[in-house]
Amino acid sequence: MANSANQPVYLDYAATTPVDAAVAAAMSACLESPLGFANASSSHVAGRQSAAAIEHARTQLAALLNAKPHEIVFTSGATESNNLAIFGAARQRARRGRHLVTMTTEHKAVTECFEALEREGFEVTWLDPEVSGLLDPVRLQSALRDDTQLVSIMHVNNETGIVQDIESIAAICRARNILYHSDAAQSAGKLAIDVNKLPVDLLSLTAHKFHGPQGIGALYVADRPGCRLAPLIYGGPQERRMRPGTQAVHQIIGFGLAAELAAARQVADVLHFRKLRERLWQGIRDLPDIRRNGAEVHTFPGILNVSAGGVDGESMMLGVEPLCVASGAACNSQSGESSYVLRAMGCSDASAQSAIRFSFGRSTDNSEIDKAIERYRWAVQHLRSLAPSGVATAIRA
Amino acid sequence: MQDPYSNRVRGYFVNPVHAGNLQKSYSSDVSVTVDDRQGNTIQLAAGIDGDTLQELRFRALACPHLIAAAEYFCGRFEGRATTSLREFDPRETVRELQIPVSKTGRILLLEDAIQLLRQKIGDNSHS
Repeated sequence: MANSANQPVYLDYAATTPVDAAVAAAMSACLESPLGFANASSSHVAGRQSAAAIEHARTQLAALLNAKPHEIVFTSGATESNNLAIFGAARQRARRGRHLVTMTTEHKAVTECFEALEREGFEVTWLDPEVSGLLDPVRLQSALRDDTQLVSIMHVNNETGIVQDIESIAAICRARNILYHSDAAQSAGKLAIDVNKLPVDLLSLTAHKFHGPQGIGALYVADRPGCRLAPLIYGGPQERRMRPGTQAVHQIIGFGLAAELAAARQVADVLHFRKLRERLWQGIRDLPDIRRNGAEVHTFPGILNVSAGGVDGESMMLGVEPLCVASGAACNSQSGESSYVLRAMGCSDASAQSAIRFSFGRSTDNSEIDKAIERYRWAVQHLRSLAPSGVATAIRA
Repeated sequence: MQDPYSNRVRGYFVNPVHAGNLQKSYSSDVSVTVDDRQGNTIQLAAGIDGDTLQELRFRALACPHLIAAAEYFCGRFEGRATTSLREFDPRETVRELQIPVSKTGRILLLEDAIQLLRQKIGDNSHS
């Protein structure tokens, strides 16, 4: 995609991705079909057609994970899936025990659930990552207790791209008969996930991270004894009563097709991302006092997170315009704090503030990466030229 | 979300002509540095001949608004009498640069630096 000087260069695909043209067409076809609006819970012929379309999409999504279709529960997105998994499992199993385990580097859609459960009287063990961002399985082992009911550790971190060893984590949990949930919002559709080989019980995913529509997600709920959830809302038999309410047929159709397309493109996409990430990193790594956040080996290639010493995070974001990237700076987040993920990995506040997350998509090309290199280099050099002498090296962790 | 940066802030941020060190030597060179707990640092330098601020320069590790405010200050007071520094009004800077309310606290750091500069110039002139 060629870009003129001031045209935005979108490198924020970890936040959301554009809807694939084929997905948009399938959704439009549903919306424009004379009876495509029919309620899938209705028993008449039009309702049955909608129900069939939903079940087809469920099959497509199940295929992405090598799951059984009835193990897929449609939700509004990964945030709702995380809420359903965490609250649902904790409350369902509360009589057996009230101890839960998660990590400090999880997405807010997970951490805030656990904070709420703490207020309900559950006890939560918060595990810190290693400096690499990875969880040491031994630390998880030692955190587990006889009354532990749920472990929630994400697959790919949304800020750093760190890929946790969820196979080991899941195996540890399964051996202790503890439910294991993973927020796979950043990995589903991008990395191969086979729930037949991976003993995960609950897996959250969302369509808009892999070229599906926003507003639709799913929770994989393993069909095995003990893996049951208390619903968050009540009001009908839909989605096995775990998520009642009229199903959004066109959204679900789009989600199903996006899953099918993602599965077909996964290998090519990852190779493409790896080349782009390497080109970008090689283009900026010679700048003094640059830090790549997260282990180089265990990261999803679609994300590169970089901090620079001696620059202000908010100024970096303005300096790199017209790049559309994400920032670790307080001024650019709605929370008002610098990245808690990077701080948990041992970054200083200054280093976390200066962090920029680049994330790549299918349509990202070399010219966009070259633009990113040029803008990033300019921003770092410009801001350092403005900084009082001695500050540039003083703020590094 | 509204663009938090006015055209003037963007212009000063990209091309701050008063950023850097004093270009010449003057009968009196005064510089001050202030910082806050959020990691913002601002440094002001004044080259003074007689009672005139012949040259004003700044350095900053700061957000775009503070960088722009420092540039605006230097441009506005360069060439004026040292006593004019007391006329600095942060509200006028906020108004002129259209700085969002949520960022006005940052401008107080510039005000602190200017007060310190005034104090140091006063001390120098009495010594």
